[in-house]
Amino acid sequence: MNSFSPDPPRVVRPTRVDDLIDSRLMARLQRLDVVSRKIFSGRIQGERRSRRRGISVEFADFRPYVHGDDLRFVDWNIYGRLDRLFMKIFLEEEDLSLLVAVDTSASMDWGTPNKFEYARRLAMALGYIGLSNQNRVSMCAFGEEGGVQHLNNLRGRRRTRELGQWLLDLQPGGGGRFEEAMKNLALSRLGRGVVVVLSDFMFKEGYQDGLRMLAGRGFDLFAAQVLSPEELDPASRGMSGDLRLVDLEDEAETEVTVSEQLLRTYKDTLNRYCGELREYCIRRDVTHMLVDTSTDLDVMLVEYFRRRGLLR
Amino acid sequence: MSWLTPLTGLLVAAAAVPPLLLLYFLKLRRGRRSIPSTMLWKRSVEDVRANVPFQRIRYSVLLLLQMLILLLLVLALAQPQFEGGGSASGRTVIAIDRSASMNALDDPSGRSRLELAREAAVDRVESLHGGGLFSGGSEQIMVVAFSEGAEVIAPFTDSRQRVIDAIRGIGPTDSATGLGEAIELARVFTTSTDPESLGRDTGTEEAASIEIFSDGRIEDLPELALRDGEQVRYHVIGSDRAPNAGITRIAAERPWNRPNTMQVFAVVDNHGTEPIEVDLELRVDGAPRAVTPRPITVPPRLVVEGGGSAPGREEVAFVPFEQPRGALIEVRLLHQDPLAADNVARLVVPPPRALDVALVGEDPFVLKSLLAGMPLRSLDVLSPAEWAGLGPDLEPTWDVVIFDGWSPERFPPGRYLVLGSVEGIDELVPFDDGEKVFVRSARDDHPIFRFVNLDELFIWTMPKVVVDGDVEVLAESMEGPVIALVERSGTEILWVAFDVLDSTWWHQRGFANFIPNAVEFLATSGGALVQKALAPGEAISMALPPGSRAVEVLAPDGSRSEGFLDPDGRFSWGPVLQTGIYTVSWNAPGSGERASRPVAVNMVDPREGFLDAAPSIDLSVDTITATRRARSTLVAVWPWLLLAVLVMLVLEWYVYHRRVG
Repeated sequence: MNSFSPDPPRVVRPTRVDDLIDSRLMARLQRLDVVSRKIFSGRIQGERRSRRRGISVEFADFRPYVHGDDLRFVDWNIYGRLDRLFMKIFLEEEDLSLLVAVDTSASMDWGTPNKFEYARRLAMALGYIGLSNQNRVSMCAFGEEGGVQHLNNLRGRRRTRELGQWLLDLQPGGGGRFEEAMKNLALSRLGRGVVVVLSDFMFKEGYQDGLRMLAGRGFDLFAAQVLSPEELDPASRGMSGDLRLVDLEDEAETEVTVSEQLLRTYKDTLNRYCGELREYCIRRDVTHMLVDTSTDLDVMLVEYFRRRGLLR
Repeated sequence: MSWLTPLTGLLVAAAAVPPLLLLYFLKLRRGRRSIPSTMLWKRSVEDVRANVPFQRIRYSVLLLLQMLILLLLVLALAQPQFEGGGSASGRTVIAIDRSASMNALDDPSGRSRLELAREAAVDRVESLHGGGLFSGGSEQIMVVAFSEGAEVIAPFTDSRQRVIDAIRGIGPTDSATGLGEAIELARVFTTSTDPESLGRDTGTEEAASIEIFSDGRIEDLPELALRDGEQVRYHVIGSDRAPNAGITRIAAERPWNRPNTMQVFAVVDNHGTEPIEVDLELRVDGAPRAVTPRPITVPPRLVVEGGGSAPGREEVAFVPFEQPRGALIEVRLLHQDPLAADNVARLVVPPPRALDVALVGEDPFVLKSLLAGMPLRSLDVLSPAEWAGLGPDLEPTWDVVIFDGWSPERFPPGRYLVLGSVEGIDELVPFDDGEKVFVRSARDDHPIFRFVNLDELFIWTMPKVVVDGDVEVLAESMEGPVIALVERSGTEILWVAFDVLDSTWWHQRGFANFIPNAVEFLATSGGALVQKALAPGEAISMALPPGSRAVEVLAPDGSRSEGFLDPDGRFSWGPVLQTGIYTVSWNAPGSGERASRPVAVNMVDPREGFLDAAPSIDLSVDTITATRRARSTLVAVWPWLLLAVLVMLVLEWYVYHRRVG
C-alpha cells in the first residue's frame, strides 16, 4: 500500500520522548556537535571562541592599558622589562545558539515515512546534540496562519525531556504561511546562531521572502527540505491512472492522467524547483539540504549533515 | 431523405451507444488522492499541455488502436459495398433482355424470367439510388430493353420512380437476342460529339456502366467488344438447367400436280440432356386434324467439341390431306416445358391459285413445253413483235411475263422472268462476254432454288455484267452474276444471264423445277404459294390491291395498330414481337368491304429455345462472370465496420486501463 492509495495509512504518532529518539541514536549523537561557520557572541561563556576578547586560557593579543582596565590582566612581565603597562587580551569562549524551526503545516503530514514525524525526530536529534554540547537550544514550530510556537533557550542534557515533550505536543495541520512565520521568527529572535529550518518548502506563495527574512539577520542558516519518497519518485510508489489530486492545505484540486510523460515532466519540475531553492540559498549564504524521509535518521545525521557542515 | 435500413440503424445504435457512453463514464471517473501540494503537479500538467504541437512519434499500442478506429470509421463513412455501388461515371445503363427465352417459366415461383429480371433491375435501381446513409441519389440511369433490336425505354434520368416505372413497363417479346444495338445505344447516349471536330468523339463523357439482366443466351456476343472505360455487369436470370423442346421449323406444301392437297412438315428440337417422347398435333383452322400415331422420340442435345452444343432433332411429316381452300395450319407439341412459345408453330396457307402467264420470244419451245405442264389458268405465247405492238403504255394483266432471249427496252410495271437478255435492264451493265462458265455460288435457301441444283450447270457463253442499282444476285460465277433479282418500284425482274439453249441446263431436272419456282415466286410477289411464316423481329410486308385503304394490323394480344402503305400498294408494318397470328385488314377498293389476310409468326430460332442460363458471357475479349441476384450481392459493409469500431473501442479501453490501472 502506498500514499497514493485512496485511504492513506494511519500515521503512528510518537507518544513518548523515547519514541522520538532512542538510546542507540542518543549514543551515536553524543559524539557529534553543532558547527557554525560563523563565530557568534553568546550570552554566557560557552565552549566556542568568540571574536570578542574575553576571559579564557587562550591568549589573543596585547593592548596598552587605559584607565579603568582590570588590573588582573596587566602583563606584569612586560611592565618589568619595558616599564609600560600592557593588558593581556584572551579569546573569550561563548555558547552556541541553535534554533530548529519545524514546519507543522498540513503538507508535512504526509508520506511514508511521514514527513512531519521525520522532521520532529530530526529536530529532537539536533536539539539533543545541542544540549549535549552545552549549546543554547531553541525550538520553534510554524504552521497554521503564520503562528509560531517557541521553546527558548534550553541548555544542558537534562533539558532533553522538556525538549522532547514540547515536540510531542506539536500537532500538524493548516496551511503554513511561510513568510509571516519567518518574519515572526526573525523579529523574535535575539542574538545570532545556527538556524535549521525543517520544511518541505512547498509554499504556493513562495519561500523566497521568508528565507530572506532569516538570511538577512545574520544567522548561520540551514534549509533542510524534507521530502517523502512519494514526492521524489511518484512512479516508483505506484502513482498512476486518472486521478483528482487534492491539496492537503487548501483543498485545491487538479485532475491528472498519470502517464510516463507526465511523470517525467513532474520529476523535471521537482528537480527544477529544488534546484531553484538550492540556488536561492547559495546566493544568500544559506546551506540547502535535501532530506529524503526514506533515509535512516542516523545516516542522515551522521553522514549527510556532517558532510553538509552542520554537524561535526 | 430515405432510410435504407432504419431498423438496423436503430438496433446498431441501441447496441453501440450505451456501451460507448459507459466507457466514457468509466474513463471519466477519477480516483481522488490527497497530496501535500498540487503546485508541482499543476506546473507539470501545464508543461505537458504547453508542449510543442509536434513531437517524435513514439510506439504506442493505444495510438495504433485509435488510428485503426479512425480508419474503420472513415471506411464506414465511405460505405463500401460488395459487388460495387454506382458506376464510376455516375451513369448506369440498365439493359433488360426481353427475348423469347426470357419468357421461360423455370423459376419455382412460377414467374417468368422477364419478371424476375424486372424485379432484379428494380432492386438494383433502388440500391443505386438509395444505397446508403449519405447517398445523394444522383445516379443517372437509362433503361434499354433488348431482344433482336434495342429500344430506349427511359433515357438517362435521376428520377428513380421514372426508371422503375419504365422497367416495370417492359413487355415480353418472342424475338431473338442481340446485345450490340443496346451497347451502341448506351454509347450514343453517353458520348458527346463535338460538331467542330468532324464528328469525332471528344471523350468529354465517361463511359457508363452497363448492367445486363439476361439469361446470357445472346447471339452477337462474339462480335462485341468493350471500349476503354466501359464496365459491364451481368446479372444472370434463370436456372442453369432448364430442359426445353420446341418446334423450330414448319412447312406446308402443295404438290404442283395436286394443288388441292397439302402436306405439313415440322422439326422438333430437344435442348435437354435427356431424350424426350412427345406427341405432335396438327390443327387446321383451329380444329384438330391429326396427331402423331405414336410419340416421337427426340434425342438429347449433343455436346460439340469446343464447348457448344447442338439440339437433338427429329423431323415429322404429317400424312397429306385434301385442303382445296386456304388454311391456318398449326402444329402443337403436346408437352409441358418452361417455354410455351416454341411449342406451337403456325402457317398460313393461301388457297391454290391459277396463274396467267405470257411467254415472249422467238420460238421458245423449251419453255413453252415446260409451262404447258403447269396448272396455269392461261398461257399466252407472243413474239417480240407482237409484244412491241401492244404499245408503250401497256399495263400487263398477266401475273408473270417471261422473256426468252429477248427483252423490251422498257418494262411496264409487272413481274418478269428474263432469260438470255439484258436489254432494258439498266441496273445490269454488260461489258464483255464470258465463255465456259460454271456457277460458283448460289443462294440455295431462296425459294427459286427449291429442288434446283446448279452444280451440274455449264454455260457456253453469257454476257458479263456489272451491277448498278437495286439488284440481288442469287447465283454468281467467276464471270459475274448469273441469276439476279432486279427490283424497281412496282416491277420485279428475275434475270437469268444466259440462253438456256447455250447451256446444259435445259435438259436437267433442276431447270424443270426452276421455272415453276420462278413463276410462283414472282406471282406471289416474293412469297410462295405456301406463305412464308415470319420470325419475331421481322416486319410484315405484303402487296395489297391498288386502292386499298385503312389498313390495320390485329396482333395476337388483341392490340390494333395502323401500318404504312406505300403508293405502289406495298404494306409494311413491324417488327412483329410476338408469336401467333397477326391479321392485316383493309378496305378493299371499289366495294369498300373489309378484307383481311393472316400472317403467322413463329419462334423458330433454335438458340432461343436453349434455356440454360449462361454463368458468364464471353465478349470478343472479355469474359463477364454472372452476378446471381443484385439484392443478394450488394452487401453494405459499413455496419460491420461500425461493429469493428466498437470492438476496437473496447480493446482500446482495456489496453488503456491495463496500462494506467
